[in-house]
Amino acid sequence: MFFFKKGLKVSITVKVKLFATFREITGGQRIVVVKLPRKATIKNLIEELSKLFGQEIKDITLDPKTGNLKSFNNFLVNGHNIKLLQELRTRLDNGDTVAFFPPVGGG
Amino acid sequence: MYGWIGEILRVDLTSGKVSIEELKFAKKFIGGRGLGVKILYDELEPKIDPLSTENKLIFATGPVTGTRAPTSGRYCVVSKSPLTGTIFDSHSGGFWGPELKFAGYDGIIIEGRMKKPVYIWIADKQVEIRDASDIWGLDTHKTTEKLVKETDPKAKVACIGPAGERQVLISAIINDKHRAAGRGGLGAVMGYKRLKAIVVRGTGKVDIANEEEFDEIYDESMVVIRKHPITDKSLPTLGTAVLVNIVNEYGMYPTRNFQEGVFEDAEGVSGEKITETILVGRRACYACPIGCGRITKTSKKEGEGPEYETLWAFSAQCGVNNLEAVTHANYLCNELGLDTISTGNTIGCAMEMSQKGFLKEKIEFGDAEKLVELVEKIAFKEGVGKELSEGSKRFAEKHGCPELAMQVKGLELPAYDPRGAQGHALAYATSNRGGCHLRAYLIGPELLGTPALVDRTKPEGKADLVRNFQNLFSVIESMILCVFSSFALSPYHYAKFMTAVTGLEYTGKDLMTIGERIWNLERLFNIREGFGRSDDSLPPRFLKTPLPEGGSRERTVFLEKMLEEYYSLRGWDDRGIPLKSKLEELGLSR
Repeated sequence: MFFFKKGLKVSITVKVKLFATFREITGGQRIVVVKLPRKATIKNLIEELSKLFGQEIKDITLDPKTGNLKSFNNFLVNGHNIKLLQELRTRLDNGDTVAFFPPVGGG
Repeated sequence: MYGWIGEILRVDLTSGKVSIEELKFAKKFIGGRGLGVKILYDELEPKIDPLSTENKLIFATGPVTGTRAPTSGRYCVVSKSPLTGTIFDSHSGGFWGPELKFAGYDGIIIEGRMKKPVYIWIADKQVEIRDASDIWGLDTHKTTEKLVKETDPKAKVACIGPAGERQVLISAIINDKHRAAGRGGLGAVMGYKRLKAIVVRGTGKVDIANEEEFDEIYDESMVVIRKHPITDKSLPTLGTAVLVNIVNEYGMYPTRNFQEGVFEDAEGVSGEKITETILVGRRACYACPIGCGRITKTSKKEGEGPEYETLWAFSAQCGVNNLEAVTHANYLCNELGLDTISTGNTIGCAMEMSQKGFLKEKIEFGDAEKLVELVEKIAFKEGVGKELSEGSKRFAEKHGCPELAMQVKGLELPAYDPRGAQGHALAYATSNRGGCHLRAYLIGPELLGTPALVDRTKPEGKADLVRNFQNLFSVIESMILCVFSSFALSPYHYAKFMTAVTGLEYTGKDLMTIGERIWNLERLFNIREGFGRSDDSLPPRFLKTPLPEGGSRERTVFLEKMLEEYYSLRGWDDRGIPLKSKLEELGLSR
């Protein structure tokens, strides 16, 4: 656990907002505040959420073959889609808001 | 003919003459929107008053209407809009469109004006113009019920409410009680003509050229629709209103007349909230495997909606967080025959004008009671509602603040702030019918990642995307299918349907060329009316004032750069006029 160094901030807190069918997994919970190690990524966040809410969140979001994000799922970090950032490797900062959307459409 | 019936009904209300004509231009313009535009371009004199006997109102179907092709239950109304002065086509789902095909017509051209209110009763080949004195004044629901009783229990009704009767410029045509050909004020054209309703009962069918080929492409399409998470899960279970939260998180949910891009109370008036609280059922249009329609119930009554756009128009746009009031405003629009987008947008505009001291009357953001009251006043042209009934552009101009009207070419903008998505901004600016999100739905690639995600903040490459979407949607709206089918289907599927249904060979490329032809003819119509480059613009707010907070904070639109590229890709000169060579290529030169 390299990040437990004396005098350094050991963890970050991110706010996760869950929408649409993701709420079925969380039992209706809309916002989850998650503590993560510094330099954590979206992938780490999904792992952490799966500890809280079970494997289903991984099944929905990750392609089992490639391990990448499944098509049409949109995860936004402070309003920016991670597909245009570093995808699952997108680094999170303390205080970030991450929004999880399953495939949605309309007009 | 296959697919097409081959016959168009022409009704001259001035003389009462009804005639049947052979369908022309079908191969080159398909039907629906394309057909309507072609007829109006040829038949209307330039610069006529849309609310005069010279304007015509076309109800059109397409070759796949009334077949089993998924989402083929639509029709459109085409006219010169009294709200925008542009060519205008307004679309609706439900069951009315297929019924007209079953009665044996591809479309109806309505001309002239009756001396007294009438409705048209079509029972297959029998067409009557009937007195409507006793239904004039009724809302769309009572009108529908009465006319079904008076004609045939299986008849389908498209009608106007009190708003259309009073020629409210943001009035709609409502069919099947809850479906609206909403945009562009075409209800006012019907009202001017004193045509209360068109009631149809058809017992025929649509002949398909190659049943085997049709079954093949039908099965193939259904697999794609069933496999796509948006058409198979998102739209059926959560409806269009599921977009509220994602657009809000992107910081593009227009709030308090587009002054902000994040609505603090979005959750309470979101698709998720509707599902939890007022949703009692779902409804699909004819031949639709998606079924995005919402049946809802408030403490007062049951109705349909609100859909995404309506939900926004009466909530974030007006700063209202009361779902019951928003839903009630929606029900009222359906009953009174108003376009929900333009109505909510115009009320939001009045609220900002009041906030900034341009109005004597106090109309405050967040006032749910006032919102519902204003919807009624607009429909009946009462009090301040009389001025509001002319839409935001005329209203804001009259009070000396045209910059506060969030519109393009006079049509009120819908529920996406263009500052957060450059391509969508270009789509708004170049739309042939004004401020509309469905001429080219760049929200797909820019926000939702369909078909693939592109960077919404960059203007590069957007002109080409907008052009392609515009051409494709022109085709979809001429066949006619619901544009929601395009989340799953592609030009390949559309071409296969066209070929199987009509027996004429179409490729995806052929269809895109037809789409381009339709787009250019609409452009020529508008140019003839005096529209030009300066009208391909956006309210100054979007070009100069950055969004204050949220996911699109500090963004504005880089319009000029994209517009130049767009004109060049379109084969238009720098005034936005199609070059002779382009018109020759598309078979549009005279």
